[in-house]
Amino acid sequence: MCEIKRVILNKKYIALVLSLFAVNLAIFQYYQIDSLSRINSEEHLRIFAGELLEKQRTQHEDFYRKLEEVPKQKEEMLEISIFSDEDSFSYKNIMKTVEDYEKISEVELSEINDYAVDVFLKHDIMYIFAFIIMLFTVISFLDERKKGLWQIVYTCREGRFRLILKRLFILFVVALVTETVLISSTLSVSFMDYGGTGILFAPVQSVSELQCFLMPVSLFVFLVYYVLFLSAALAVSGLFIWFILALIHNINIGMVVCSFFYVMEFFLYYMISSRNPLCILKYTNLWFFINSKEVFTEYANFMIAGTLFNVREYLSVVLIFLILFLSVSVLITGVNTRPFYTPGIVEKALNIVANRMRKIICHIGGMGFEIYKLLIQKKGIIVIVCLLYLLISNMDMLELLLGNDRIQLDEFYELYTGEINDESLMAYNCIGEEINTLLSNGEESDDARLAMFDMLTEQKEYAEGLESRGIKGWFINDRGFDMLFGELKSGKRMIDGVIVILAIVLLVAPCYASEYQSGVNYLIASTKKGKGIVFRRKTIYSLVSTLSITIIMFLIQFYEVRIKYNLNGLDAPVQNVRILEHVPFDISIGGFFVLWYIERAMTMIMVACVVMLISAYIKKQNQVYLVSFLLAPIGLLNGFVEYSSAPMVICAVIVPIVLSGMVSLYCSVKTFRKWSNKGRKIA
Amino acid sequence: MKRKIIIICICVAIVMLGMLISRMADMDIENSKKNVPEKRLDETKVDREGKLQEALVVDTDDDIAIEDIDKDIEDQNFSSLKYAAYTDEGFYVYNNTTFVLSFVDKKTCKMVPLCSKPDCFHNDGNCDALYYTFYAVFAYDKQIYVVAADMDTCSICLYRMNRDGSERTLIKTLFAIENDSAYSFYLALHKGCLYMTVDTVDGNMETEDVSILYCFALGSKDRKEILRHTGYTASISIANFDGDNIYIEKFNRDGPGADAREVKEYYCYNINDETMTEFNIQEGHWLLCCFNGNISTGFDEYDSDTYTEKKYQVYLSDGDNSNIVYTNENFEFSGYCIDSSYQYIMIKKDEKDYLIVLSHDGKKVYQTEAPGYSMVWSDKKRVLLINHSTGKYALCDIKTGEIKEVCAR
Repeated sequence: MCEIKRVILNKKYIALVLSLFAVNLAIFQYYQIDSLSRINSEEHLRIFAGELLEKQRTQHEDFYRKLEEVPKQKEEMLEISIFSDEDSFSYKNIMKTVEDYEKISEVELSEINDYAVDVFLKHDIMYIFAFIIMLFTVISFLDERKKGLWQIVYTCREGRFRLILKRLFILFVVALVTETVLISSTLSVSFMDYGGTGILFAPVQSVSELQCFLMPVSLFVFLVYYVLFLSAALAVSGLFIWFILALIHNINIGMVVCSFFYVMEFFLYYMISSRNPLCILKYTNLWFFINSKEVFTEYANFMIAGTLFNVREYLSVVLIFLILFLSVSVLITGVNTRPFYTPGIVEKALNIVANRMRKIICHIGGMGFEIYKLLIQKKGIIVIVCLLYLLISNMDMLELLLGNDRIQLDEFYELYTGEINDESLMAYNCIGEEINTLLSNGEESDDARLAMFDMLTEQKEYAEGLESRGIKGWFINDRGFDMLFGELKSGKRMIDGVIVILAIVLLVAPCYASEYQSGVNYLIASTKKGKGIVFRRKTIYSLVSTLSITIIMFLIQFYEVRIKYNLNGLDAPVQNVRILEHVPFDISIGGFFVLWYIERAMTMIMVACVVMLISAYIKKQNQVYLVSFLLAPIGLLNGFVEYSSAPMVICAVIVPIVLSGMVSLYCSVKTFRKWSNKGRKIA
Repeated sequence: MKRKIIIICICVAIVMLGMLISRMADMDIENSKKNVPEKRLDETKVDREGKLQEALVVDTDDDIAIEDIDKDIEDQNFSSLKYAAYTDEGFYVYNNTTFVLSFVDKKTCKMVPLCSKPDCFHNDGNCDALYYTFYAVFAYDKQIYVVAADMDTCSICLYRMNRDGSERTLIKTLFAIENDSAYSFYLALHKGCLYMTVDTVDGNMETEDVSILYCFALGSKDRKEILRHTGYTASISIANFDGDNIYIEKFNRDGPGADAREVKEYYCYNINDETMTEFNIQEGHWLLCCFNGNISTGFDEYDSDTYTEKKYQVYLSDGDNSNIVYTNENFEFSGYCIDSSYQYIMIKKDEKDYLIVLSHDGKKVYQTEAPGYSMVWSDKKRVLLINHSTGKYALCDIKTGEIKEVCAR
């Protein structure tokens, strides 16, 4: 009971949980704004309901057709030689699919509005919130370590085995209650918005998203099963994290190890397709357990060691097994892990290296010492190496194969990139005449040639439009610039941006927080160079490291585009790149390029300054990391592509430069004042 | 101490699991390399004057002469289309109207999509048989390989799957592409490598083009450039594979424009010692194929006004002697296909469509009427045909000439 009170019934935990529940509902409702605004009157509601009913009828017809077709397909397919081998996956898959469909062959679907359930099933963010709640619950199990009470708790009679049993119970209850509350609250809100509660007692296949769920049960029973399944998956996630944290003394290192596992599982999940022979790794996957809704919305089978399994049935068993296995592992680890810490081999080796380095740094002056502290002692160099590895390994170095139309276009641009003049117009007209001659003779022109000429004509007309605005029009291949600035690679730019920001946080966060945490801040501040000069050194380090990794990111992105495309015509007016048509400055493409990169660099510098400020105020490294990681979404602005009007261009390019500059300056001033304790009242 | 041991064991187990998984992925590709037969002796080496150094005596039995290719790993089927492949059980064909890769069963003559899900309507991304942008299918080493574009990653990829379409795996990403433009290239799988000819042809023939023949080894990340050809309207084409030899034609014009003289050169590339040996054929002829030292060339007189072959001849040469093995005149060419035993020519003559089958030794010629059909593939005993107006496939038995439609699902 005390443990429940300590873990769950404390203000922080309750506040967190309630706020996540509320945020979940708020986000859900936010995404319904569009749909709800369409049904703001009786008339619209009637039309909307009519459309839904029509769509539902079509889906029901498809469902009944499938039920009829499946047994027929089985007969036809088993006659085919490649499907008739009884040991093959295909044969077993066919038999299993037919067997599963037979279970629902008598189902009568109901025509009750299923929109509420459809929309609820598409709301994925609640599973992330459930995971966050579980994560906090597990971390709170280890509070005694943070408060230095571990040894005392460990020596108590009930401080080991029984305590862990109680915590296991709490974990399962939290998993069940969290999923139940999230699912029931979201679904209730959805029913309040769209109605159709009658569908709860209709066959589950009446919901179009759940037509692949092949059990003859009602939606209500399905929801119970759904909650239990997701609770089990959430419990497995919690147990795994707890197991790792119990194994590793240092919670921070434990969290890093857990993150490593989750990152690995993330890549495994997305790299392995469901058709791959290793698809078991896709489904028995920690990342997949966070949101395993796919198990219910799709029907899939796979084979292990000659035996066919349905994904849902397999996971229903595996989750129970994993819960048992991880619970026992947690019990054993928790009981046997003693609260005495001795450095391991790696740490001992690192200490030897650190001692050697310390001897060297005696000879280094102030700036060198700062760099040593932050790059070596605080493992900044590892961050830089990992960042470089991530950026370089994600480089797209595949050779680009161009269609014949693009090849011909590129050949034209090789010769005629530049202002539209008589020579280039003559070349353009020659191509047009050649095509017209062929067509008028009744011959066919090469499709690629026609396509190429169409693209050239489009470019020419666009350039003529620019001329009418007083801007010089060019023949220019803007494909490469499209890749640099446009939507095509915006996803990758976003990912790179987030990675770089995380690296900046890891590099810069220890700047001040490490001094406060170790208690040397007073010592440093009391020396002659301890305020302004130390601040300057730390700021220079932060700016230089931020700029360095940002430039590396830019170079890699530029190189990826350059090896595929020519970037000729950098001195053309920027408006010649079609996506930058609305840029309101009289600037060349090269100039816009520089401006664009300055904007992104300034954003990164702003992030570095904000992290320094957080580091100066929060004073505890772990908390600085946690808070600073919230800045990671700023990296998504790297992929921001909105040049649809002059104001948007100014907002996208100029405003961030100014804003970043102001924020950076403000943060730097505040950081300096905090560090040097200016304005502090002396008692 | 115990805890450290546990941590170390877990880390080692993870590393070993990772190595095992990557090894498993490569192991069966490596196994296919072990099936490569020993290097054939110099039966088909030719010197610069086109004379054979050694020649095989051609088997004159009724059945086809060339038998000792390993059809599991050697490319023995050629066609202008790579949209089909054969196995002992049937044909795999791609339907570019429905975008579905299908299987034509030899026993039942039925055609079914290569998807083992009886509840699949083959119209969404979950279907195993659906490929929106498809380039080639091969039956190789008891598995099926497909070259298709993945528009999510904008790349051309090589996939491998079982013969029933299950366990599809991405083997290699070959090239990045920009969009789903029609790319045309020659593709073939032969003895552990994917051969791919990429032509960059300039439609107006005024500038020089580049054509490159690549070799992608299946068991590694290697990509080798075997031949690069630069010239006006430059192109590289492969006539056939014969054991360890690849017979290649290099084409270009000796100047810009359509009126420039055509220049053709012929090479034999040996995949073991990677040597490129040039050989010559008769002036005015073109290379059809070369098997076991027998070089088959074609010669024609073409009327470009009426699009007819005024005269068409197939020659067979063993280096010393060249004999006409087939001749025909006043017909329209409508298709050409070749495999390790026969050449197949579809012609239109006197308002009728004919399929002519010609053995490489020149001793056998079959002819059958094939109204409205064009060829897709062949397996030495049957030819797979398609009727473009009905979209139906048919199998033609070479010896009897009987054409039997296959039933689509």
